[in-house]
Amino acid sequence: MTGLLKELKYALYLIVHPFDAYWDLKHEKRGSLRTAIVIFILFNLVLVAENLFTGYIFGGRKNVDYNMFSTFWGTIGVMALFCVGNWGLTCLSDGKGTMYDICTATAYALVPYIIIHIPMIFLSNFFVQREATFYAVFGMLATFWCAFLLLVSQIVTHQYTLFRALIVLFATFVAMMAMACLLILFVNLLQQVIVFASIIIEEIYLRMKY
Amino acid sequence: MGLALALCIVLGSTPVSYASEDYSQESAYIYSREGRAVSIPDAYEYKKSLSLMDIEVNGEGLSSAADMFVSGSDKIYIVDSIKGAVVRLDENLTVERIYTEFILQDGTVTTLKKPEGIFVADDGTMYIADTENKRILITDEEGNVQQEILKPENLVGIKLTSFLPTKIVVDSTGRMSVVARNNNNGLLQFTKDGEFTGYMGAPSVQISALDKLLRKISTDEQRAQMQYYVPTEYNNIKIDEKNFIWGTISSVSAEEIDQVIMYGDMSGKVTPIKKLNTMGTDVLKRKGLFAPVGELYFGDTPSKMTDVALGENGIYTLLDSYYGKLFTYNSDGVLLHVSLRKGTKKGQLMTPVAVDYVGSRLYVLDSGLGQILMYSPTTYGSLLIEAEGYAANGDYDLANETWRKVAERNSNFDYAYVGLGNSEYSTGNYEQAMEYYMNADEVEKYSDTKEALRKEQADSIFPIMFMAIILLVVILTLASLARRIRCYVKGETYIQHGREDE
Repeated sequence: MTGLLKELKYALYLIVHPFDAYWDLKHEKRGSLRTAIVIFILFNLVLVAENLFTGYIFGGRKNVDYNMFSTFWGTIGVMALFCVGNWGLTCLSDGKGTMYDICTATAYALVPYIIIHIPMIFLSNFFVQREATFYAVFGMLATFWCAFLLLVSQIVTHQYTLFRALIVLFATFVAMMAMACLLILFVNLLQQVIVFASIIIEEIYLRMKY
Repeated sequence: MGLALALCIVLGSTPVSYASEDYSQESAYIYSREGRAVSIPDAYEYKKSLSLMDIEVNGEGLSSAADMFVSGSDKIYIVDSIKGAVVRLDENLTVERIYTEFILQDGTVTTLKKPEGIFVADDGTMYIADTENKRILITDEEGNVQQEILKPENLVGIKLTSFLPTKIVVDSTGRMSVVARNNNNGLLQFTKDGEFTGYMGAPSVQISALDKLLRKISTDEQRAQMQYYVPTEYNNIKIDEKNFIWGTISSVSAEEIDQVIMYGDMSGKVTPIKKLNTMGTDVLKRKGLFAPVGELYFGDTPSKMTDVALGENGIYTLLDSYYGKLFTYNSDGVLLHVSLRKGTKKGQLMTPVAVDYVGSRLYVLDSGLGQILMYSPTTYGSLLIEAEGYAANGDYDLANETWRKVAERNSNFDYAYVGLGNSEYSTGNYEQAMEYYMNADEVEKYSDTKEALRKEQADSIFPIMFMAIILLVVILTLASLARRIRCYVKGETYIQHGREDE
């Protein structure tokens, strides 16, 4: 337990010293997949809290049939696609990171979102539209910080140059879309096969019966 | 339908059926925030009608009513174009007088030739747009012509070099504004003495930069082939008691109106209705969910507004002669209800040409039916009118009560909750107001109310906070002082708190 706390504290160090910290994360084992999973769960909880508790002015009227599992499946899906896509691409282009490294580093990049969005949920209940710009600035800060960390995680974990990391990231997003497309296609076809099979079984069953 | 689909995509909602298609042919409706037609209780109730065929002029009934005007003394004047007659009725639709001949100042008798418009001043002076005779006749109640305005000599910009006045209004100072056919420079202005002074309120023409460039580089022949950019012209005008001139414009294209609806354009650059001040600037408020353009979902033809009726408490009703509907808006441009339909049932319209209020009663002149139809507001309709009045006069308790009744009768009407919120806000009941605004999904007003509430709370907390800070400072000072004294008494050197490491 103390190890986990120590690693979480290290995550706070990481977001302000990303280059050093990502190196140590990989080579000095100062972080772990366990902590990464905890961070990812926290990230999901923040998303759920945002849906439930953001003030009316910024979050609109509450959706009465909001289901938090839709949020969970969404983030898990995107995360899985990203990690698999990134791993696949970096394997082909001299990346030094393993799947373990990629998952850990990516989850650690979500820390600024958690830290900034929790106060934002509170502020959204006090702010009025006149202060919407401040609110938007906070949101943008979180997004850019996370994006920057993601970029640094690519540079450090795979020992890439900046330019190469950018290209790999872009390619990863393309790969994610391609994978999602194939998945949908696969599920669709599978469904048709299942329907076809079930109809045949039913037909055989009915013929044997009568 | 293309618009409907596009809107669905934009709004991310599933396609729904719209008013013009299969919406209930009977009931009144409004548009929700998403732009869907929502059924509401009827606001007008058909009372009675008068067949114009029953009004005989030279042995024949009237058949081509062109304009209707309600004077300040609640008399209804009708102009029949073919017969060239002016009929005066009282508010219960009884004929009082029929004018067919007018006596000029030199004693000769004159008749009207296809007149299309009339205005009657409070003292009974009639201003008749005698269209085919190319003149405006100003006569007294007895039919004695006081003045005859012919084509002004200094008139510029009218094609065909003829002066064909169709509609006329006169403001309280006697200044006349005239709509003339084949004129797109705006309203013709005449002084009290009949002198032409110029144009006012010309509808603007927008030409894009690309069109300008194309026009510049093309040859004269090409230019002649291009579509002309003709500014729209007014087809009808009304004047209110504050001398604002309300003009309806029917020459707006479906594409333009589509754009206005799609982008929520409230600038009024393309609009079927304008409210002009004496400078000719449009000052109509457009604060509703959609700009007042009439029908939101139409196939190829948008609403064709041919008249506007100015009612009590700033409410106005636009007459859509194409769909035979009445669109009623309040002074902020919020749609209150869409009433009536085109049809052959009793109380439905065929080719309406003019609409006017007498008090809260509504009169529609229908040239197709050859009737004047009279409608009175239902309970729901009068509640809306009352609520608007109370809100405008600052009777917040009464307004609150009335809006509550409206909301009870029609829970689909977001604006009732805005009204409730407004009255709660005005009485300083901010938390309740915020709840109502949230019900109506009025983010802006909600935000303003929240700001007021926050300020109020801050005002009450501030003295306490201030006292607390002062107290804290005093305690800390005293504590350090006590420590200093203790050190002095013990003979030690005083070390400031928090600097022990140095």
